[in-house]
Amino acid sequence: MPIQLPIAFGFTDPPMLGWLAAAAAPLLIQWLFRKKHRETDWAATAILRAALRRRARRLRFEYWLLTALRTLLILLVVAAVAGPRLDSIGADDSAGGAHRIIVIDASTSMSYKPAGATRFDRAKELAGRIVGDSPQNAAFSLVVMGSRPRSLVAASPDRAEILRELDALEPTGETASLPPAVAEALRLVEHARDVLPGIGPQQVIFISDMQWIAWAPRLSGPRYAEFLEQSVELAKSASLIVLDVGQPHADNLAVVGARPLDPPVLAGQSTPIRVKLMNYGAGEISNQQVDLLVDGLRVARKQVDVPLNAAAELDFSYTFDAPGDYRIEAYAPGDLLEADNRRAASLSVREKIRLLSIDGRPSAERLQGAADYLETALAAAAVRPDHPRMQVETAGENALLEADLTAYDCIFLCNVARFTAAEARALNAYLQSGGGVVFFLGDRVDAENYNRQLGAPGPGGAAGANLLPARLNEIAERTQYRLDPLGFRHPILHAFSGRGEGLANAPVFKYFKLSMPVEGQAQTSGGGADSPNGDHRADDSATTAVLNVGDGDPLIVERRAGQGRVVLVATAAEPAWSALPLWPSFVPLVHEIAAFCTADRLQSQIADTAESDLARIELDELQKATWPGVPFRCKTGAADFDAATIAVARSETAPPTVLLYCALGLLIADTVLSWRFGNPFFGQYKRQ
Amino acid sequence: METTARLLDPAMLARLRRFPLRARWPVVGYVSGAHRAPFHGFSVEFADHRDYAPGDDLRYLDWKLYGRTDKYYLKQFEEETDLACYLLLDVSASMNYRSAAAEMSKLDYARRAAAALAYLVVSRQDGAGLAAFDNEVRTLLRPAGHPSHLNDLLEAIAGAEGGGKSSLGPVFHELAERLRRRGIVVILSDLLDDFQQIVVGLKHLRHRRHEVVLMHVLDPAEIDFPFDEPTLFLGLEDAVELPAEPRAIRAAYRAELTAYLRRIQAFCRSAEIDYVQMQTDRSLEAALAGYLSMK
Repeated sequence: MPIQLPIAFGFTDPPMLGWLAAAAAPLLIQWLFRKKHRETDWAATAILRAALRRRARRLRFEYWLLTALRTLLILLVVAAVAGPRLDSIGADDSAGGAHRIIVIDASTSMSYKPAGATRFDRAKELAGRIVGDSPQNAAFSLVVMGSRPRSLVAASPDRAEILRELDALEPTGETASLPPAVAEALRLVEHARDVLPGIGPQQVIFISDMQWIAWAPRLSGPRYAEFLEQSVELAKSASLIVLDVGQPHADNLAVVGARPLDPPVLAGQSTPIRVKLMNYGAGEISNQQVDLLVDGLRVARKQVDVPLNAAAELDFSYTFDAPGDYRIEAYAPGDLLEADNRRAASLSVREKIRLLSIDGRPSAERLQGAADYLETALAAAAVRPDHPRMQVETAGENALLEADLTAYDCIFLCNVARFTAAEARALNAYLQSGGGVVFFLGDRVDAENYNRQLGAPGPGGAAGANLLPARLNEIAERTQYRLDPLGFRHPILHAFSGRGEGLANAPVFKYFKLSMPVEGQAQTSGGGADSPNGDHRADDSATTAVLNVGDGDPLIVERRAGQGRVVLVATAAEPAWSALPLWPSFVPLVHEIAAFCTADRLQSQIADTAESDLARIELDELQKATWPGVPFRCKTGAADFDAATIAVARSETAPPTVLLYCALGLLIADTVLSWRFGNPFFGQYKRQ
Repeated sequence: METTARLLDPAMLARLRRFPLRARWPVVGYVSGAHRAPFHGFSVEFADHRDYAPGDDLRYLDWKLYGRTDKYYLKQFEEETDLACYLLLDVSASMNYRSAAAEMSKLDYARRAAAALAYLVVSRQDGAGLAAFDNEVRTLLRPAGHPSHLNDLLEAIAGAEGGGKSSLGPVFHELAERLRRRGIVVILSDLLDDFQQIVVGLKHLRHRRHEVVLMHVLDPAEIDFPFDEPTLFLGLEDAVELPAEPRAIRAAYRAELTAYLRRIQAFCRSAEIDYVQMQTDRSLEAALAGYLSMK
């Protein structure tokens, strides 16, 4: 016959136990009111003394009985409010078996390998032991804890199934997050009730390294309230157990970035590649070895000192001999979390940058076409030895549909009058693939068509390619003698910093007034984008001003669209609209625009650097900040999990109503006995 | 201090006069009084008839009986003498107790009883004396029967003050030695003292051939223990403070008191001592009349 051995007793609401101090109230009241009695002279003291002596034992018994009743009454009420819980060890003899939901942390930090086995290996082992030691009629669920938790097994009595899933489980490389795991566990608890009638007690067992980033959710307001509410609900339905497989002081060095400094990368040119490292450890790291690998082969090795809790950068230089796709990787070996010791990026190395220039108003006469000055500037840039090689092709508007746009790194559209829906779709597809599009406006531009075909979708679901950085308005024909480079903050103008006075003095005679999108309502084209340093960046498709006219109206704006970029120049590349095409700054300007648009054609392997910080949450912080008022048990010390921990069985919550009924019975007994005994008080039974 | 005027209730005394205080046993007196002497003789009071025997004194022949019966009978007479009554008044501190249910303290009640008895005795030309005591004899008046002695007695009764701790046994011993003339010893006390010492003292008095009447004066609160609230009982004769929950110990107290009273009564029966229990909330007249009517 299975035997239940109590191993732990707890409370669902431990803070209420502070009211246990009220149990001293009967004694305190007795003491306070001890002096509050009448006094009277008395003659028959001998008889009274004899009576007291006669009743001393009985009085003592009555006093302590009433005091005990009243104290127990208070204790029962406090315990009922605190919600007692009895955990016992042993086989589950309930008619329905226990349901154990194992939530296993599979984030990157779990790959930390302190002593022969990673945290994740340890977690899998523990999970396996929990499954193996469970009673035969137990059911299991398995949840992988990540940014989006996955339920691999849901309320299944087939332990072979869960063991198979455990065996095949690998770290996800994601960042773990507690709130979605709690929500998923709660869903599984309710699911188990539906599919397993007569189910016994339920447990949710979290196996994690207690990394701060996962267990200290950065939620506030209604979202935090929702998380806490779900946690409380979960704790009421199941007992929560946290098995901590982390280590108290885990140092870690991570490679957080590897990128070429001056994209695009062209074959035959020395390409500077910058590697960034971050030290999350407790001390400075000296002479850290860093390798640069290209397509798996080490091509360079350097050492660097990385200060405590700080970053360090290291520059390599490599020349790609031939165009093609390459994989570069920075590797810093030596610490226990191998997963973040490498950072890779895929590069498309080109022979040259291919540009397509579409002239919206071609002319046979020299420098009379809308794109002539632009093409001249691009060609001039192409021959400069310090500029990437560029190949410019000129085509008409039909190229948008007839040419393979993906063969070009960037497309310039000069004074194109209007676009069809198909052309807009073609441009959008090109941008989604990572291409760059630059619009130069002019007198032929149909602003309404641009806004309709290329702008944001209109009301009523009207089609719009949603790639235009700003809405076109009326033409301003007020000569602007000064341009505002906005502090040269934009990458396009970085090269002009310190010598941009020439650019700033270029007069602009006409330009389209642009309406920038309202901040916070950026037009999005879906998906995220990869930043040049390889870090994953949230979708940042907000329009950014590059260059303004003196009045403050934007002249050049840009935004991300899909994997590519769109630059909108509100004036024409013709002297009739502005002196820019005649200005010496025009050549480097269009070069920088072309380089900017082609720079993002990189694909990096995204790894979340947040997991590299192995800082952990301590138990008191977990109780106060993450789960205030949520009852749970935490077992720390991965090496010390014993059979009792693994074999945690039932958690029973004594129904508070039972305690309240007992308290009511005591109250009645107290009333009756008080009437019967009178009010015995401390001291009257002392020996006389 | 009580005034002598308040001690006597003329109406009560008038009613009590029909109950003379008689000695249970023959007493020795110096003056021919109303109480039997231990010797038979010729005295005023006819006692019985006996057959005439030749040679008897014909002066005592009952000629009326001869006229009725034609037989000769002689009259027999009892010799009468005066009574010595000692009133022992307990003036210890415990006698000052008075509860809300009583109109007067035990001492006042005992004074009135002593005054009434003194009056009854002296009015019959019997001798009444007084001994007021607490832990020693405070006042002692020898028995006398002349009317002026009554004033002395009343003044002594009214002015008797003690207030000390009870010491009945030793006092009884002392009085047993000092009261030479056999008589009636009426003890007015609450008897709240060591029982064994009281018994020994009373036995000594009985050994001296005194007729002892024990008038046990108690307050109704001492009998009923009517308290309800937690009370601190402060001893009147000693520095004792007894905190108690009266409701919790009332039954035990009553049981102890009952047992105590039974012991006293049992002893009194065995020692041929008259025992009269008096409560200060009850009529003194009824108590005295009840006792005197049995004499």
